[in-house]
Amino acid sequence: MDTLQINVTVNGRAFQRRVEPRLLLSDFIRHEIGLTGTHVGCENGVCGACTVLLDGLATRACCMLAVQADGRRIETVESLGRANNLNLLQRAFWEMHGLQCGYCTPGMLMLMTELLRENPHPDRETIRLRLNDNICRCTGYEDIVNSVVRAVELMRGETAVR
Amino acid sequence: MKPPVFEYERPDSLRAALDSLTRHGSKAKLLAGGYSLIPMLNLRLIKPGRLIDVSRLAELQYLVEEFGQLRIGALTTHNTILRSSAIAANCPIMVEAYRHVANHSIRNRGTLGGNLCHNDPTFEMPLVVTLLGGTMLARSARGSRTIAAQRFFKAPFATDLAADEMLVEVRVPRMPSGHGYCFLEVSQRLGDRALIAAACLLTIRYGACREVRIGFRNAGDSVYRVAAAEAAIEGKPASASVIEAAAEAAAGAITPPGDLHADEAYRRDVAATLTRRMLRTACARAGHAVDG
Repeated sequence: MDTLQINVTVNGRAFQRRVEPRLLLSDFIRHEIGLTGTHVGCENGVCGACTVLLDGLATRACCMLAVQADGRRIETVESLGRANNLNLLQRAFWEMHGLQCGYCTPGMLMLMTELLRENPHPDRETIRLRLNDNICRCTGYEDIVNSVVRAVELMRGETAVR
Repeated sequence: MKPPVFEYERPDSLRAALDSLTRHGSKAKLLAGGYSLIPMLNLRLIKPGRLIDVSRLAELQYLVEEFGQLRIGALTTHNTILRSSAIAANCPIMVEAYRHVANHSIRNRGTLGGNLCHNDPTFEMPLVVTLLGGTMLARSARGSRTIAAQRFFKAPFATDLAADEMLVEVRVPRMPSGHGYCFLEVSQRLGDRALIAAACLLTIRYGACREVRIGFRNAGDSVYRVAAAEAAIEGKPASASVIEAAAEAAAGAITPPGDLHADEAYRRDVAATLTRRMLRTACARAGHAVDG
């Protein structure tokens, strides 16, 4: 099988790998790099569970080949906080119960990371409209919206971290 | 669910891409944003021998305003176009339609050229570019040619491009200030495939509707503009009864598909309703609110 060499930066760390051209970026991240926080849902661009940031832009890793990420910068959910040291967005999801089964959560977090970088003070409607990208089958979305609203509060420092 | 095996190349210039397309022709597929092509590979709906990755060709990523028109490089992303002040000022219908084109993440990477060439019957942009009277610039190693949008979109998933040709630029005319426009769509969720999409452009002069263009998406094999609906309002005063006649003409002229989401009769009803709403909005935007 023909393989191509690629150089990809994932969460600030440089990786060099030889990959088959047909390897999806989502599988590259999970199986080659070993970062399994990026979840794979529909694998045809509908659900958004595999959302990562590609050079800062929310991108569905199942709709991109790993070879296309050559020379690019990827950020996954592992670039946020750790279990014992959540970042503000994750902490807000924790506080507001923004997840149930958690399968969609890494995609939601990366999608909202992009939004909050471009607009640190989105209103509720802006948040809802952007969350339209990704599917959650448990929460009914209200708690996810509430979580992001809470994250905006925490980032503003308006209310104390609970 | 993984793509089948294919050869992959990433040419570093348009010329190299066109040369490769000439060599490999119908065995090759151009890869742009990937949001249509890669799902089809994942689902193994297609099995191309080679992918020619043009997604990084910066020479086809531009948006310039000149000589009364906007020239958009085929690989310009949807979000670049959506955020362009030149588009907002001169082709506001495009901005309105973009609200329905997939979602933000897909618009980050998806390209106008890829959308138009895929020509999914539910896609919005082929309708918008057709209504605007746009022109496509196609290139191959043999040379280049322009194709009127109305001739470019041939049938669902089919365009006028030959196997060795690539869409390189989309040209849309600037719309005059004060024109009326509206794009409306009904889908199960925002960004889902259109059950029916509808769009119109018009101007109002001395109280009469002129240069009326009305079109639909997912309403029949090749329905873009609906002459019967346009004729029902062209030259007439913008009134509730004229709009009603156009809505009835539109519903009668289209041949929408029926599927598990909506049958044909429902889609005709939706088309009539959207026609009423969009003509009222367009007339109001052209400075002529319709009473009643």
